[in-house]
Amino acid sequence: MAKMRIWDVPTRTFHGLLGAAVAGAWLTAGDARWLHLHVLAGTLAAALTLFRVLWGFIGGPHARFRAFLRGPRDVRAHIHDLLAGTAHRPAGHDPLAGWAMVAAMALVLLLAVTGVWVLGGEEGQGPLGGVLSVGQGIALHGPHGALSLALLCWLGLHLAGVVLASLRHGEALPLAMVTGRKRAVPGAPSSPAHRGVALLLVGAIAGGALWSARGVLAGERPYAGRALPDDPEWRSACGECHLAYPPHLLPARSWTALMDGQADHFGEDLGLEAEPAARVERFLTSHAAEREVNEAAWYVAHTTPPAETPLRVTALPWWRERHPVPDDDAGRCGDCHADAEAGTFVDGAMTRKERSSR
Amino acid sequence: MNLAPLAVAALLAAPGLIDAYRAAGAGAPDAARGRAFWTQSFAAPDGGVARACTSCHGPDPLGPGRHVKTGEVLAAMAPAVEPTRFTDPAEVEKWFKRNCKWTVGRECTPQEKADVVLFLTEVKR
Ligand code: HEC
Ligand code: HEC
Ligand code: HEC
Repeated sequence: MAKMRIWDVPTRTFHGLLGAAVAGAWLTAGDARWLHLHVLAGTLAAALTLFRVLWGFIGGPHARFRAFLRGPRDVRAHIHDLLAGTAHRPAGHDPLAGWAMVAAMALVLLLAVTGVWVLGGEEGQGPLGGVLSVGQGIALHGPHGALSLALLCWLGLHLAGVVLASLRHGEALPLAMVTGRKRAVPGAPSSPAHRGVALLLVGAIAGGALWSARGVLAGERPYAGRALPDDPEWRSACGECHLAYPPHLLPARSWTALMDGQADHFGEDLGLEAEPAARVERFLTSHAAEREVNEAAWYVAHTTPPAETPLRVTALPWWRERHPVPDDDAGRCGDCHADAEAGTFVDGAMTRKERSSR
Repeated sequence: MNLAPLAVAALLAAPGLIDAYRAAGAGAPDAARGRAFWTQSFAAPDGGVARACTSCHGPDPLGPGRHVKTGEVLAAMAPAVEPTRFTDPAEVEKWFKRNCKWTVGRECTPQEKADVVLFLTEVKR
């Protein structure tokens, strides 16, 4: 039986790379140590999708939206034919598959937009870095995850549809997405290969990926957390018996209470003179959790009961929820967080993961 | 980093400190008495584990200590390995005040301070 080219090379390249990018984004999600890879994979998926939208207008005959997007009446008729077992075999996408492609592209683009939003809000990076507050970023973290679950469900339906259609057509459709060829459909045009466009696409993507990863390749830790305010007087007054607990980890009222009680500081008399004590207190309260400099601060500010004035970071409900560690170990933040001195506490700097106990 | 100037400063600073303690009423300092004070245990007012300077600074002045309450690692106390020790009189007084209050339950006398400083500066590798 004669075969003909249905899927041009750019469409197949798009399909393969998008699958890889989505898998990469999925595997690197949820762990900030992989955030730079996650962002790279998401950017790649979005760029590929934008290319596919363009290709839907200027691509080969079966790649164009015009060739496979049908109105509701045609879709209903197609479903009817499918159920009756009389549906004809299309050259490219059938009307259902066509809309499924649009749904996937919309999901990927929505994931990219919400991803850039969360990155800008929570990490202060990317195009929206500095524009959004931490709270605004956190607000879309849930929806971003929900969209990724929706894409996973979509993938399940997609695979089921491909298997069913393959059985119905008596033709391995996944193979057609690799070779581009399908059994000839009478009257349907064969598609040019468009190898040059595919080459351009791959080149642009490789170049873009290298460019965006240049920092990581040069050894930078891209999401090392926002730089925090520092003060030598605070460090020397508060950093000699223990870690100088960064101001954003307690509400301002807690710092005021700690400084008011400096003569009986967990059994120690800090004995600070009034002047330096006032300066340290000013530094602590003016950069306290309420300023929401980062995610941790946001959580401290929003999960500490307003009527309480905790004197310990390790007594905060938020901290306890994330730290199922014995009290004896709790205070030695540096044992698990290599960046404790910097105060950033990013996942990327965890030295000893105790996830198993969670 | 060149530590030589700091080491010289330590050698100069410790005698300066001791002179100040003598001016405040201490007699001739004695390193053996300093060692005894450094390792002596004092009953804790809360009935907990007895306290000593070595609770936080560790048994060996040449090695690091570990803060008994916070777990923070503390640099060695002997200027022989930690040349910045006893170079800043205000810092030294601040810590004597705090640590003596917590460990002994009162401030240390000029005599005790002079003995401890002499003992720690004389420890050699
Ligand atoms: C003389 C030693 C000393 C100094 C100096 C000191 N602290 Fe502390 N701090 C302690 C001790 C001891 C504890 C209790 C440790 C424990 O029980 O785990 C503590 C605990 C804390 C905690 C609670 C930690 C937790 O469990 O979450 C905070 C917050 C704190 N200190 C803030 C400060 C601030 C602010 C300063 C500077 C003004 C300061 N400390 C200076 C000895 C000190
Ligand atoms: C026994 C190991 C351990 C110790 C000790 C420890 N942590 Fe953590 N910490 C963790 C783990 C594991 C996580 C990650 C939890 C998660 O992924 O949700 C974490 C998360 C955090 C986070 C949140 C980071 C984020 O992005 O949400 C902060 C802030 C933090 N720790 C601060 C501290 C402070 C302050 C101390 C000392 C008082 C401390 N930790 C001591 C293990 C530890
Ligand atoms: C509860 C813990 C603790 C105990 C007990 C303790 N110290 Fe300290 N000591 C510290 C800390 C913390 C520092 C400051 C950090 C550092 O310099 O390493 C310090 C610093 C000092 C310094 C400052 C030295 C310098 O020039 O840097 C002196 C002197 C000192 N301690 C003397 C003593 C004496 C004497 C005793 C016993 C009476 C004692 N300490 C007991 C925790 C302790």
